[in-house]
Amino acid sequence: MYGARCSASSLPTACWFRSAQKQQPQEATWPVAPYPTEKWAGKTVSKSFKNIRRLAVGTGLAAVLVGVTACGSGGSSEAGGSDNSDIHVGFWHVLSGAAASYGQQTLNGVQLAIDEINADGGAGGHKIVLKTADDTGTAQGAIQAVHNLAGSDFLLGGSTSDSCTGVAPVVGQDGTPTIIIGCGTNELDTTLKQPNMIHFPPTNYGYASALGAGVAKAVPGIKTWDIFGPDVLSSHQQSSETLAQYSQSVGSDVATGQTDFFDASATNYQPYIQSFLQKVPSGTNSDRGLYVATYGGGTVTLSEQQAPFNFFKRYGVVANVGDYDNAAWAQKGSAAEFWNSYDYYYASYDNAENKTFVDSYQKKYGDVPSAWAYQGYSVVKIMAAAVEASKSLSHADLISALHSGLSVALPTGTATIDNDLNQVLAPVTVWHSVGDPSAPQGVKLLDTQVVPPDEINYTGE
Amino acid sequence: MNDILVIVLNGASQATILFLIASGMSLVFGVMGVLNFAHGAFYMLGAYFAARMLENVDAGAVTFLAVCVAAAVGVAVLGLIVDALIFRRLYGREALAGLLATFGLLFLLQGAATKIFGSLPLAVSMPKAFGGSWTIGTAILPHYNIVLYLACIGVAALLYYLFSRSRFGRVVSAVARDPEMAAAVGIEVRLVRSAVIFIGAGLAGLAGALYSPVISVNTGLAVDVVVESFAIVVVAGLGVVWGTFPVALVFGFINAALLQYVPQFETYTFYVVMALVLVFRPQGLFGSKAAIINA
Repeated sequence: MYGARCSASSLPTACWFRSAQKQQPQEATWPVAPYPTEKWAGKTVSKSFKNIRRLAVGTGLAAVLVGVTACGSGGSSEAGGSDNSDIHVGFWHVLSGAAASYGQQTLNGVQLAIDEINADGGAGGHKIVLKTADDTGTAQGAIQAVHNLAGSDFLLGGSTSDSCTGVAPVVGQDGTPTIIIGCGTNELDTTLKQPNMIHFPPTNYGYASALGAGVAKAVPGIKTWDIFGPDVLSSHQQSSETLAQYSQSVGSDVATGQTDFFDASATNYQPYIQSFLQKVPSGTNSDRGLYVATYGGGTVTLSEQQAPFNFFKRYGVVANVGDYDNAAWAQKGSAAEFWNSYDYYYASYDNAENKTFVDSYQKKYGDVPSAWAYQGYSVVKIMAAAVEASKSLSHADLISALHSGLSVALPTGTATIDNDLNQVLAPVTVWHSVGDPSAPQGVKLLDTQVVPPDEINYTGE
Repeated sequence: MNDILVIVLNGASQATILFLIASGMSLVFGVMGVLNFAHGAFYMLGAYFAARMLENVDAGAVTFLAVCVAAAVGVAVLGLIVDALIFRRLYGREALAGLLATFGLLFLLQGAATKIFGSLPLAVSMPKAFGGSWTIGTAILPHYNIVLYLACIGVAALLYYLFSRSRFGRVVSAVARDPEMAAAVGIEVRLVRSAVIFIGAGLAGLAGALYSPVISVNTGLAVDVVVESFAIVVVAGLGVVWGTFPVALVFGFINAALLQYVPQFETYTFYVVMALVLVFRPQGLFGSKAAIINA
C-alpha cells in the first residue's frame, strides 16, 4: 500500500515543511528583546515574539496536518523490494485537494492493471514496481513530481491541463518514455509534442469531434445549436469543433444560435440561465441542440439549477464533453438527460476486455470503474505492450517500441499509436443517459455511439 | 418591463447567497477584528453536513428545513471549537495575523472535508414541494428562490433585532468597541465572543445547507464565494453587519443589469465597485474612519 509517510515522491512543499520544522535549530533565548519581556518556561522571551511563536506553531500545525494528508498519498506500492530485472514505473497525478478522487481513481486503474500483469509474470518477464507522486493539479507540482520520479524506466501521469502544459517540456528534457494519462490539452499533439511522450486521452478537439460525429449518427435532425458554458478556452474550442463535426457528419450546415460564455468562477448559474432563456424560443424545440461547456461539479450544479427553468427541456439534444460519469452518479437518479463524449463509460461496451476490467475493478474496489480508472488501466496496458516489444529497458528502446506499430486490446477496443501526433488512437465513447433512481449508479444508459479514431479530428484542423 | 423583472429576479438570486455569507463574515470581523478567510469553509461544511444528513433520504420540505437548521448548528458548534483553538489567540492582533491563520485554517478544513466526505462531488435532491417554478411574462421564478428570499429576510430581521434592539446587541457592541472596559463592568467578554462566532459560523453553515440542492457539494465551495463576500463586507464597511444587506442587493442588481445589457462587463463588477469604494471611501459606504484605524 501507499505509505503514509513523506517520501521523495510526496507533495514537495508540505513535506519540505515537515522536514524544515524538524531541522530548525531552536533558539534558547532571543538576543534582543525590544518589547517588554516575561519569564516563560525558564527562558526569556519577548512578549511579542512569544505571540509570533504561538501563531507560527498554530499555522505550522495546520500546514503539517495538510501536509500529512498530502504526503499520505505518495510513496511506493512495492513492499517486497525490487531487483534489476524489475521495471520501475513512476506515476504522477493529482492525489491531494479537491480533485484527489480523480487521481485516486486513475491510480486504482493503474494498480489493477499492474496487479494483473505481475500476476501473469510481468511485462516481458519484468515485474512492474510502481512509485507515485502528487502533482497537486498544478504545473509546478507536476514538474516537481517528475523530478521526484527521476530514475524511472517509464513515466505515466498528467492530470489537469495546467499540469500537463507545464510538465511537457520537462518530460521532453528528461527523456524517459512517458505516456500522458489525464489531460486533453490540444497542444500536447502539436506545439508541446515531445519525442519521448505519448498522449493517451484524445485532445479536446478529439472529444468534441467525436461528440459531433456520435450525436449526428443518433440525432441527425438538429438545425441550430445553442452554446452555454463558462468562458474558458476549451469551451470555445470544443463547442466550435462539435458543431463543425456535426455539420460535416450530417452533410449540411447547421446554424449557431444563442451563445453565452459566462464568468468561469460563477457557481450561481440561475441569472445566466434566465437571461439565456429570454433569447431562446419557448416550448420544446426538437430541431435545436444545446452544447453545454461545463465540467465535473459544474455540470452537477448546472443540471440542478436548470431544472426549475426547464432549460434542457427546450432542446432536442443536450450535449457535453468531458468527465461526466462521476457527476451523473453523484446526482443519485436525478441527473438530466445528456449526451456526453469522453474516453469511456463502463456500461457502454460488451466485450471480453471490458468485462474483465469491470469485474476485476468491482472485485478489488467495490465499485464500477470510472473513465479515470479506465485511463489508468489502459496506459499500463500500453506501457506493458511496449516493454514486451522492446529489446531492452533502455529509454531509447522503449521509446522505439512505443512507435513500432503497437496494437493493444483495451476495454473500448483496439488502440494504436499515431507516430506523427504521438497520440494513442482509441475509440471515444459518446453516451446518452438520464438519471433513474432504479438504474445501477442511478443512471440509465439510453444509447452509446462508439466513435472510431478515423472519425476523430485530434488537431482541430 | 420584462427586462426589469428579469433583472430583479436575477439580482435577488445573487444577493441572497452573498448576504448570508457576508453578514457572518462582517459580524466576526466587527466584534473580534478577525478577517476570517475560513468563513467559506464553514459555508462548505454546511453544504456537506446537509448532503450527508439527506443522503438516501427523500426529504419533504419540513425535513429539509430542519436539516438546514441542524447543519447550521453543527457548523456553529464547529465555529466554537475553532474559536477556542485559534481565534482566541488572534484577538487584538494585527489583521495580517488573522488573515494568515484563517487562510491556513481554510486549507485545513478543506483537507479534512476531503478525508471525511471524499472528493467526489455530492448532490442534494430538491424537496418536491420546492421543485417547480412560476413563469411571469418570459421571466421564470423557481419556487425555491422564494425559500431563499424568505430565509434572507428572516436572517436580516433577526440580526437587526439581535444587534440593534436587544440587550445582547448592546453587550456585543460594548465588547467590539472596548473589550477591556466591557470586562471591567462585568461582561463575560469571552462568552460574548463565542456567541458571535457561533452566530457567524452558523450563518455560513445555514447558507451552505440552503444552497446544497442547487449546487454541486465539493471542497471548492470553500473558496468559491469568499472573494465576492469579502467585497460585500469591504464595500459595506468592515464590521457593519446591517450594511451587507443593502450592499449585497445593490451588487446583485448591478450585476444582473450588466448581464442583461452588457454581459461582457458583468465579470468585473465586484472588483471595480470595490476598488472605487476603497479609493473614494476607504471605510466603506456605511463604515466609520475609526473602524479603519482600529483595523
